[in-house]
Amino acid sequence: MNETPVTESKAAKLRQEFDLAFALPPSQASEEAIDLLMIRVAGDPYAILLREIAGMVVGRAVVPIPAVTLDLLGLAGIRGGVVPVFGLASLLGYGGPASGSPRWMILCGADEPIALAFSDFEGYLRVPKSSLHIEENPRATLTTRVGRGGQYVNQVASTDAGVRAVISIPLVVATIRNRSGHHRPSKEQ
Amino acid sequence: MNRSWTFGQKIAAGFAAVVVLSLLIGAVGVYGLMTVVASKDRVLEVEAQNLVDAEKLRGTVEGRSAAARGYLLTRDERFLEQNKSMLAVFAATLTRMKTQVDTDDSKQLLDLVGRDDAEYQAALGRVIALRKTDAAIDAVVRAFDSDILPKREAIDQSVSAFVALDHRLLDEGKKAATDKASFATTGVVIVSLTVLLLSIGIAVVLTRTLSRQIGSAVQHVQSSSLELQAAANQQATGAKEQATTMNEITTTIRELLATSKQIAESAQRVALIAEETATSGRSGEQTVSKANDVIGGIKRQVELIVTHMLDLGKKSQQIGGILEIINELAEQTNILAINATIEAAGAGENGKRFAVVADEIRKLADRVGGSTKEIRGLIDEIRAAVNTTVMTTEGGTKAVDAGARQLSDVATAFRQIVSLVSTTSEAAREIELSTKQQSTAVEQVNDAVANVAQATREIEASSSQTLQTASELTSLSRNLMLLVQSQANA
Repeated sequence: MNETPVTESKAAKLRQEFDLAFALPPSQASEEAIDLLMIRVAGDPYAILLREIAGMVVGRAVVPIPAVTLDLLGLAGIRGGVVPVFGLASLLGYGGPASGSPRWMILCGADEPIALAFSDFEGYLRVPKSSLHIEENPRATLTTRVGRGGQYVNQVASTDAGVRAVISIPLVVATIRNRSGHHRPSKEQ
Repeated sequence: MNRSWTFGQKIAAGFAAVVVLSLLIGAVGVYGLMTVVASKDRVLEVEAQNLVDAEKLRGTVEGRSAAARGYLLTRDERFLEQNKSMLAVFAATLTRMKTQVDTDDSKQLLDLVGRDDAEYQAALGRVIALRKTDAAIDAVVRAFDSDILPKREAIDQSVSAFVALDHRLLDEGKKAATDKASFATTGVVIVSLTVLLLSIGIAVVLTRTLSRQIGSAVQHVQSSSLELQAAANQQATGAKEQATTMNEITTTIRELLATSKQIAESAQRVALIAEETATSGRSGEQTVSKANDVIGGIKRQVELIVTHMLDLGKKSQQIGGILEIINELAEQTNILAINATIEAAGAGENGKRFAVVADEIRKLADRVGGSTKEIRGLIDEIRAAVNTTVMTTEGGTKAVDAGARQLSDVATAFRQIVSLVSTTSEAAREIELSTKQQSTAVEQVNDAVANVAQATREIEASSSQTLQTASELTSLSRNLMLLVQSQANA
């Protein structure tokens, strides 16, 4: 009986915030903020900088192809093109997928896009730039914090839920391209 | 054997013996008379008849001789016919005589007569044949004299010999009949004397036996009358004691009668209480039946609640399915917003306003996702509550079933109570009826005891009479003893 007024007040608050977002001009503070995607790889929390990816899809079918490495899961049709899909977990050193194919994918690279697949997407988070810290020796510190993917982590982000390792997508893409024989440095890098 | 005979039997036996002896005398007399009569009859029927037949033979011989002479003189054939008829009479008479005689001498004489007659008849035939031949009469006369006369004399002699023998047998028969009559007379006299002696002996034995037994019986009567006198005294004393006891029994029976009436009244009260209890039991049974109906209604309502709860669970599951769709839409919206944000960032300054829109869309998607999580939590709580409610209602259903069974048991117990109370009521009525019958029987016993008391008083009175009668019987037996002893002495 007491739930209905609470729900109504909550709906009214949301409606007010929504209207207010369009009523105010874009704040300058937003330029000082960084957009993060909160994910989990093999159960470990990680973060990805939104500006380092070209897109995000979910639930696309991955067709396995023969490959010399376990990192390549197969090919997927994304945005009208055939894109190779790599497993982020195996790239970070967690081995093969624990159960089934990861359903979340991020697109990287503009000219020759590749997709990195992971199992869990926790959400979107906008933090101030000051929350990002350069990690000089990520292997020494991050293994104890965020798992075993220390070679692709050079920053950490402090959030309300704790500290997350920020995966450097350009570093991952460069590694993939190096393994496949491409030495051309990416634009992001 | 004689000791067990009564006086009447002994006297009857004596008379019977005398009668038997008298019959013996009569039988001996009758036998003697019959023997004498038979001897006389034989003398008259056989011997006298033989004499008559002998004379008849002699006559027929004479007739045949006369007929032969007539023929010889006249040659008339009628004399021959006469001779032939005479010969037939002679032969028939001789044949009958042979059947009647029973001595060898008589039979031999009759055979001799037959043979002589045959010779005589043959001689007659020869002479008659001679006469038929027209021979000289002299020759015929000579033939007659020489041939027929000797034969005729021979027949006369043989018939005379038979007559002489028959006379002798007749005399002997007379003598035998006389001897038998004398023997019968002697036998009757001897038997009569014997019967007389036996009758005297029987009379003496009977007199002595009866006197002795009557005397003994009179002595017994005397002693018994004395004993009867003593017994009458004891009976009078016992009758007085019995009258006292009867009074005590009457008092006890009255108390028993009062107790029986009290039992009957108690049984009646028990029957009334049992009927009230049966009424209460039936009322309780009806109440339990109504309660059972109410519980049945509760059970149906609870089952309805379970059905509705299950429907609620299904609806919650359907809401969960719809929520999955909403969540999927929110997720897609979130991805779309993220991609829009990325695209807006790539568009530079022009994309900033679009980035705001995309950001708001993403926020909405996040909020929708959060709300769907809350709704999912609420739905889980609802389903848990539904499951709990279903389990609780199932427990309630079981409890209702158990209550219904308990009520059924209670109803059964009430029916048993009603049945038992009915049995108790019936038993109480039977007790009441039996006690009333018992009271009636006790009253009858009381009357009977009163009658017995009256009879006891009468016995007491009659015992005095018996005492007096016993005294009279004693004196009477004494007098009878004197009579018997004097008779025995005489």
